[in-house]
Amino acid sequence: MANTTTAHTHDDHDHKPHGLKRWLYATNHKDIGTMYLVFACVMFFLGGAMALVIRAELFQPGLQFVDPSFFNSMTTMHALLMIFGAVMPAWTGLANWMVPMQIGAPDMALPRLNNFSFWLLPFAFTLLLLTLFVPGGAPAGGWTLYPPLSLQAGDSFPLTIFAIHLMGISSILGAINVVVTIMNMRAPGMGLLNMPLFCWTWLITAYLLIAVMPVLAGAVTMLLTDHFFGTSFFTAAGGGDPVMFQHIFWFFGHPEVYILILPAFGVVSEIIPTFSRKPLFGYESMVYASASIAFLSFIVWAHHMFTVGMPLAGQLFFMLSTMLIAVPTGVKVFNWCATMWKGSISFETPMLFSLAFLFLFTIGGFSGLMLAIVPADFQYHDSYFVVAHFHYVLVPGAVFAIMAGVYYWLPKWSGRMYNEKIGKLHFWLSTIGVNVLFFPQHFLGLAGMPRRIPDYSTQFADWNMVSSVGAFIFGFSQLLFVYVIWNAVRSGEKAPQRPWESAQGLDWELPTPAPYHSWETPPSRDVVAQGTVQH
Amino acid sequence: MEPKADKLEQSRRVKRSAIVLGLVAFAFYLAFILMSVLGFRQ
Repeated sequence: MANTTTAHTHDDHDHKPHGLKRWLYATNHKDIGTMYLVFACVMFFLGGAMALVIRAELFQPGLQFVDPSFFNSMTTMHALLMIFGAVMPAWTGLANWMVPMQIGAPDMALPRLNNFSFWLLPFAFTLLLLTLFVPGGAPAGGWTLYPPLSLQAGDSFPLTIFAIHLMGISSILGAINVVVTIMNMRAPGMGLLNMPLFCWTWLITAYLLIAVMPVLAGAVTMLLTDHFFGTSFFTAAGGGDPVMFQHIFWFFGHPEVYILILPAFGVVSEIIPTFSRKPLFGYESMVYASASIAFLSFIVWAHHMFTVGMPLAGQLFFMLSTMLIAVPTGVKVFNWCATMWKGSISFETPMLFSLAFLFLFTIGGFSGLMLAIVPADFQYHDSYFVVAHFHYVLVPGAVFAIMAGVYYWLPKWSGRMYNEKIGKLHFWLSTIGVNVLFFPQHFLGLAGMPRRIPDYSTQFADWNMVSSVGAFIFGFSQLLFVYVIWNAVRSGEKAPQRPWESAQGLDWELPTPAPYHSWETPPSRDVVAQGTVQH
Repeated sequence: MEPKADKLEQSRRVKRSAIVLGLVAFAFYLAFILMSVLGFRQ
């Protein structure tokens, strides 16, 4: 370990460009990772502001603040910003920071492509946000872009389609970079089954991205030609089929859910062993469970569209295959619990977020099982129950795991410790806020409140009010997250080389803060053996 | 330090696998459009 430390603290290893050029022409994986994370944070707050517009409007029945069309634009834009602008770039940012450090590589395999992947995003989201100011307003047909509704959009239509193409290209290039890096640049002695779980889940995620982002691109290209070039892929009047769009969209859309959540499994699988002071229980079964989830994600898409009508055999197939996903997911939840069993657990902020993930993501998983049941889905479809389900999966699921990862690795990135008290305050406000926000939406959905409406019957008033209060608690408590990070980077206590004493992995073998250029000399086999999973 | 030949070989492998993955992605894009065209004709 001493050798690796000295090898990476030479001044000549730490020279870096300065000023705007450092970021504009960045090829360093840490700089690009930071840019992705900052970009994701900005989008998270923009998308969050839109969510608060939605919840303010729904605070009580009747129309309060915005007209219905703008309300629909808010739901659509909120989803597009959060999925493609916040969660996906945040994961790519974490991958950029951690994958090379964890596999003992000096950088990503294709650094210039990495720069290009990032810089596509600001242009894509500028285009998307510009739609708020064009005649006809921003897209309002939902993030699923179902025709014929999406084809009736105003001037926002081509901007949205172009923006989605750019986001897709960015994701595909980023994913290619991750696969190529992991497959070709692992340190000598590091086999695939020695890699940290975060690298494994990202490798699987990257394959998913390469397979399904082009499918979304194909779907929106066909929407574009239907709108502008007289084709009739999805136009019934010309012999096309709008339901075909739904099939293609959800062939992308369901794996997309796992693209958002698989890296979260990786992060949680790093944090729980560290703070339980035990190795991860069932490492290999975690890898196979992740791969099984990824495989199953390709054969369950039609559970999103049971109500369009499909043969009984189709309903049964998609219902049962969806339920099968509970098996590998159950393996994971069992393994995390078994890792904690008889561990010497401490509850620092990353562990608190990981535990909240474990409980609350599982709630989202259970409501997903309920939605998989065809006759029940006929009742729940397009209701607030669905909104509650996917927000439980994505907010205390994906978003909490991102926050856990940032708290966990921030000392290694910045060389500074965050303020644990404010971190815990952020955790408790977020956890209380998120449950007050989303749990009542289960009741609203079961009582029959449809999603994507700005007004509702007075019978839904009480729980909507509670939900909106939760939204404001959750939303404003996120300002604490920014404050904690800012405060740590500016004036936090100096972090030791290994801030969490049980943390394992090549990333923790590096000095703190991680040098600008790390692992220029690959770690020796001894260091790899010491810092990786061994069987 | 790795020998220069290994570095060259690694860089070749990197390029090769990146191109293959890019082609796979492009094939998915074209295949779904083609599938829709054929479905539409039927």
